[in-house]
Amino acid sequence: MSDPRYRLLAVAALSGASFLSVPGAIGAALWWLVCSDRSLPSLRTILYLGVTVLLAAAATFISGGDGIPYLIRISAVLLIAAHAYSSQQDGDLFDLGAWLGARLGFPAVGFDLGLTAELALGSLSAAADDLTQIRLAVDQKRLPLLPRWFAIGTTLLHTELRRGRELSGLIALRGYVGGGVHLPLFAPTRADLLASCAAISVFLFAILGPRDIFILSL
Amino acid sequence: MTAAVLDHVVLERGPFRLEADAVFGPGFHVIAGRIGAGKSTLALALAGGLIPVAGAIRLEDVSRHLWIGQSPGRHLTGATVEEEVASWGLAPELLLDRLGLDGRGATDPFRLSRGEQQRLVLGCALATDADLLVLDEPFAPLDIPGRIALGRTLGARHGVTIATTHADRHVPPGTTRWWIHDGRLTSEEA
Repeated sequence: MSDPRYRLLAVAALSGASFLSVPGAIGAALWWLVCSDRSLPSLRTILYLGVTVLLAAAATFISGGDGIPYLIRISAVLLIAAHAYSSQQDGDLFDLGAWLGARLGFPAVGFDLGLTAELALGSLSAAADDLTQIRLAVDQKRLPLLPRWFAIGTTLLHTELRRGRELSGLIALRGYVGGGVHLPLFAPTRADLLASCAAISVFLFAILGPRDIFILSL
Repeated sequence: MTAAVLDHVVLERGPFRLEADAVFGPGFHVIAGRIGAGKSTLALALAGGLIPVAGAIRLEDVSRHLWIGQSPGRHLTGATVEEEVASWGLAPELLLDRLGLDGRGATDPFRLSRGEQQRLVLGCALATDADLLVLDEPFAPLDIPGRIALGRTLGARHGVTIATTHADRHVPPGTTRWWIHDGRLTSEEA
């Protein structure tokens, strides 16, 4: 999906559908298969997330909750999150914030929120690179497990705080005080429109349930 | 013989691609290239931080290898300069004076300047018994006397030392020079 507005709408609808019910989660997974580029994070990330979700589902099941439905719903949410993250382009959140703020009558607030979101996402991406290098650096010292984790955490925190300070200084140096003018251009395609409609259908299906859908169709 | 062997290695990071087929034997090796040529990517791969998409990286007769990246802050884990030195398994009282940090043992290493951090981290790495040392732009944050001293130290070091750099005027005679151009690593003799 090339237009970030339609992408945001689809992601919101599908996340809601996955969270609400198992049929909604299955619908979201089908949408991911048909309408997305089916990109997935690295195998290591899948393993970490998979084990975490499995453990949470097992704990829910043992304590008398809905273990397997929970597993299905959260897995679908993660699939949609993977799609949202991988299809993100530089500037999307800034464009979205500025556009939404202007539509709602708060252009300065939209500009600021969009800029903040864009910087946050950029920092997240940089933090992933930092983490790889910090882990490599810390592992060379052959620290025991707990001090190793502590060292990685504190060094990452220091690095991100330093980057944040440098970035805010740079923006201030360029004259930013608050608000601004940004006129994004969007070029929605027919595929964007169809994928968004499909996502909204999945959301309605999750709210109403299969039985109500059939009653409505009668 | 101690060596880092790049056997028909192909590295990829997004659209970037680098091919390398080389043997880094004992001595000092300098890898130069334009910004974005892939020097840091190659250094990271030599340290095990990036897996080649093809070929293999073999470390032969290497019992300990160290990689020092471009940002010294990423290597700091001690709450004080003394703790930082100790975290490398070294005795602070022997090293701080040599690093020009005498009397600053109780200082938070994150409060040091970037040049001082670099001196601290490089000094610790050089004081270890690593037989393969990979340094990514080690000269960059140092002043001119610091660069000259580091060049001499690296040239006199035993084992395999590989440094990526733009500041190759500070490397001593006898250094093996490599060049990355158009996504390929070549030795200067080639």
